[in-house]
Amino acid sequence: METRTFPHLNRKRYIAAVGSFFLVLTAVMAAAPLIGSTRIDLAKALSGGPGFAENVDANILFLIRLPRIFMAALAGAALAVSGAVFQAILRNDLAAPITLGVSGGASLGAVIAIRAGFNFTFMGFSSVPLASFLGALGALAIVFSFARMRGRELPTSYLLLAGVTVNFFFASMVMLVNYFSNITQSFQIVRWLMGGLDITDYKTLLTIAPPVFLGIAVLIYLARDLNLVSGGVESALARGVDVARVQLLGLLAASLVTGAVVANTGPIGFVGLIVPHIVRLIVGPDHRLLVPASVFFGASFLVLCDTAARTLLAPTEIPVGVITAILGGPFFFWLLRRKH
Amino acid sequence: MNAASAESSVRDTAARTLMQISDATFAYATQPVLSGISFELRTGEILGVIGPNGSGKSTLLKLMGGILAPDSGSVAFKGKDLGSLKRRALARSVSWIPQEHPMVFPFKVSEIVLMGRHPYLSPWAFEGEEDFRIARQAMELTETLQFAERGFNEISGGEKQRVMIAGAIAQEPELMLLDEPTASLDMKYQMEILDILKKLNHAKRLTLALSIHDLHLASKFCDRVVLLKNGRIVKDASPEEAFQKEILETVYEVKVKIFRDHDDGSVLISPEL
Repeated sequence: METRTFPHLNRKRYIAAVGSFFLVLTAVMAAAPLIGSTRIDLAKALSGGPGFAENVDANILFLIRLPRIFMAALAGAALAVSGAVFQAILRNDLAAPITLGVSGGASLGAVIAIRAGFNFTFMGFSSVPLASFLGALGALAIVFSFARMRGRELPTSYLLLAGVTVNFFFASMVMLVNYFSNITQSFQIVRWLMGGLDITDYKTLLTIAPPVFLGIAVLIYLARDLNLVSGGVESALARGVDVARVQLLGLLAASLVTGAVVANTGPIGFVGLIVPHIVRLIVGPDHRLLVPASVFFGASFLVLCDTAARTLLAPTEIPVGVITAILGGPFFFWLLRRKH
Repeated sequence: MNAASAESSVRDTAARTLMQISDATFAYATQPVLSGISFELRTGEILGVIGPNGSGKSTLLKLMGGILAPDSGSVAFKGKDLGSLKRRALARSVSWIPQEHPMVFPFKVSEIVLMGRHPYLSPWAFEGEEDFRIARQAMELTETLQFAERGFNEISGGEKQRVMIAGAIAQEPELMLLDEPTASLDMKYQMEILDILKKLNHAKRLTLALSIHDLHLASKFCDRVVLLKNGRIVKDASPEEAFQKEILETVYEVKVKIFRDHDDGSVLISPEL
């Protein structure tokens, strides 16, 4: 009897791997609120104390740090998971919200909404996130129209070239809109473009969370399909994957989570490109692990980066995008070297 | 059912048409690739798709695998138009193996083979014991089990081809389509691949359709060949009948000499310089 086994994924390995990433996130999110420019006393913060308004510790913890940490976790999860999915669908490990023009599209959408002074809500989403999502989708539609030639697959390097071009174009359009804005709007726009996680209250969090969770759920549902699509459109078709549906749902979900987050935080680079790579080096390329692990690792990564951003040069803050690059780059090289 | 009628129904199945291609036409953008293609594929046979570069061989195999849909005409599997079949259902009956296997991400050999079980699994399910058994069997048959743990991108071209065949076997298909399975392989690897395919054809009565450039190998291996030129069928016959001097000279536009191997009746074709 052949007893030799071979590497494969099963429920036990899945729970162990995804569970570990979840535990890391839990630990990071438990530790991060206690770190900051002002020391807070947790016991005092949690005690009923003299009433919430006078309880400085509770104020810092609940009104400043926690919402910001939740925002960082949501943003990190969204950017990382959409990076992983873009890479799979485009079969290119350089695909990310930035290299595909999605960040640029989202930025332009948001900036136009700010400039035009749109102020409405649709299905619970306010105008800026909505415009941002539409911008992300528009960018993807333009980039994909380059690659849609009937019956033939263009090399995915064309897509990236198109994506980078679109991103530059949208960045210029953002500058143009900014140029024609009054000083108040311009300040709002520049502030937004710098990116940041400190703009949040709980109400904003509650509008970002549902689209992010919905998008992540769709991507987890598509995970095994993504394995096959990442190996080629035609061979995926031959294995019974409805490729057009997977591409459409996958790109919609990835744009939804990116748009929802970028609209509020502004563009934060590097997370979508680097987190999927790091996670892939740890758990392998199977998207059933890669997608949920990227969610938790991306969240942990950005919470850590933001903690560093607000404490390293305290009381001054460093833009979180600078930290993601400084931390992410060397770590990535180290993993790459160790693996090969 | 008594023994005699059971036997006759088996014989009926044996002669049954597995795939029917009727007046199929296909064009990329405005460039016609296939026109007026009609033939049928019978259960258990090995069909060679033969022709010069650009004659439409790969496109024909893609039409047969439902990867592409014909612009006009039809491709039917067991009497059902491919367009009316669900992709998952089709993948349980027909498998298709491309010529090249670019893989961006570092999947292991075993993971690639298990992907053949995709059409049998619901979206949330993991592969189960049955899937592992089938995948292991496919890897044993293709002698790929010994490097199941290696990265797909770390193995040789011939090994990759065998792994892809293992994945296709894991689909448990009735028809396997292969685009140039022996191209760019040396003689030893070519023979390994053809041996595996012959075994599958005998043991599982798997019907095979493959494009192949080497006419000598084709005449040894195929029961029947379809000769294509400029997207049209020039000849649909046994290799002995199809590989005639005049026919080949028309199809390939070179002068040829034909030698017969009297041991197995295969033909050797030598172009004249």
